[in-house]
Amino acid sequence: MARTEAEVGERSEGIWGGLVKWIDDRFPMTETLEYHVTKYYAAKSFNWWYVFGVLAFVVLAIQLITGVFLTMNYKPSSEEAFASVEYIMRDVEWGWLIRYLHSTGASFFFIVVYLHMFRAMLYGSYKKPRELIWLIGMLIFFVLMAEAFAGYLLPWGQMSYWGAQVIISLFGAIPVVGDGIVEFIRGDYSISDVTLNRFFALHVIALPLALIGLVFVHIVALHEVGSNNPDGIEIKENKGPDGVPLDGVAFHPYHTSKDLVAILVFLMIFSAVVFFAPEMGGYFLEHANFEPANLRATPEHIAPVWYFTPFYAILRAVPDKLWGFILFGLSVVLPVFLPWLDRSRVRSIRYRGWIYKFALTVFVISFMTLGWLGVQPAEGLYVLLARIFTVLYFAFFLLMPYYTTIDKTKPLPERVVYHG
Amino acid sequence: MTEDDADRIDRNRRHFLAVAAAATGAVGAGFVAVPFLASLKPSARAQALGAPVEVPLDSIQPGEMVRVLWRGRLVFVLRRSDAMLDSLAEGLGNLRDPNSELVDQQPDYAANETRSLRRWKTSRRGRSRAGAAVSSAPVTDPSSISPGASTRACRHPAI
Repeated sequence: MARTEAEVGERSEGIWGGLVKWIDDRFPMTETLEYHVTKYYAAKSFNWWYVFGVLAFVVLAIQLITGVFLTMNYKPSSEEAFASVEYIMRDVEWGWLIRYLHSTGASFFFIVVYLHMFRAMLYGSYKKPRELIWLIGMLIFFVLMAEAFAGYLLPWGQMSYWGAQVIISLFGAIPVVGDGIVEFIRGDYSISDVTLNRFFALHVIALPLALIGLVFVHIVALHEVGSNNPDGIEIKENKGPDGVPLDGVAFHPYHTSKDLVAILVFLMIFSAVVFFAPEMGGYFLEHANFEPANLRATPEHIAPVWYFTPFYAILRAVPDKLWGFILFGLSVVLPVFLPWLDRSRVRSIRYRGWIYKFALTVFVISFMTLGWLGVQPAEGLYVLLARIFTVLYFAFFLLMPYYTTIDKTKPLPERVVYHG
Repeated sequence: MTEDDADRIDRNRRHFLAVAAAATGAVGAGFVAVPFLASLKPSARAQALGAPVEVPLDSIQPGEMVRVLWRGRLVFVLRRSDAMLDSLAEGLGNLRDPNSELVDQQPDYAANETRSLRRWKTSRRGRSRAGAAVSSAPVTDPSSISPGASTRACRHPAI
């Protein structure tokens, strides 16, 4: 049958076009690519805050690839784990690089994810109709925390062992069932070979699978409602005659080419850390972890890795065991409710009043200060500071329904605005 | 039965069947979950390794301390000498919590001045368990990371 000119123009001819057609008749390849990539329109006013989603994807890929190669030489047994990591570092060709990429990747995962979450708070990306994207994102964050925690036990160093000991025993603060839960998590009466083996299973199979599945759902949900933008207005409300948002450009090639620049800059910084400061002064790889786990001696000072320290500081700020555990859990979970705590009529910080800007600043300062306090000893002035900033941290969330209601907002523009 | 009746969908029946099938499936899933969850509990080997540890107290000399590992924790067994027990009374005034009433770290039977099950002195009773104080590694207790407790020693004595 003769095809119209328009139809011919859509698909390339020849063997390649034939192959694409053959696949498309059996699998929605072109359709999927267009829906998610070449005909997915996102605002052309994206700024650099919008690169962290793609960067998180890049770090995930780094972690998966380096993780597979580490698994080939790592032995998940309390007798052999520490030595096998040393073996990777010294005897396996390029093993040190693969391991440093993985350990640095863990910290960068959190840097990138924290900035990605902060972007959502800046521009109200969690607000209606993107609540579900935010909820899935928070689930990703929880799985990522579990993944990082399980992974940190695997080298079986002093801090692996005693850090896990402290964090797992926190569940013992739960009344009645606490001790049972702790035993259930460890699979033994203390952190042992059994615990190491199951954390390995969680770290390399269960949690990565969950992570990949959730990331997939996160992106599908995003592409259903469309990306937010720095103005927090809907670009779908202004469409051209072709049905394409006037302020939108296709994800590929327009956003991908910009993202490529971000990826390169990111890889420069990432490589600099991997090659010149993989331990990052004891923050990315804690010094105590260069000694094998010793049940008979605790390290001088037990602190979790930097990305958990804000929550750890909240835990220690509370004098009571159970309440400390409850506030610790709440501080992690509270951001889940942001879409409903935030009552503002506008999404973006650009059109909010001074109250929200002030509150967000206080929140950022609290979060960072708590992170710093989490690595300090819990004594004297540090305890007082931790308590003050814990109150401020919770106030940001719990008072939000009030201050976002009374905050004076500015009128929204019709179309997206550029700033430089 | 008329043709009309045969074509009519009995929604109640359909709903009942769907709910019954789902409920049966849920019960089945619950049963299947048991072996998987139970496999996470301490295994027979872990239980055997976590069995009580025996410490021959007779061979411990007054003033001597023995350290044993039990369930991954260090247990200190100290046989206090008369001089050590006598010196307890002198320090009482300096202690914030001499009877372990403020911070819940001692079992009830050891919440007393000597922090021991029996408070007899070596001189008064047989040499076996007299004055033996048992304490375990404090860091495994979450309360030791609360600010109130962390200023106290969280480290074991040098080994």
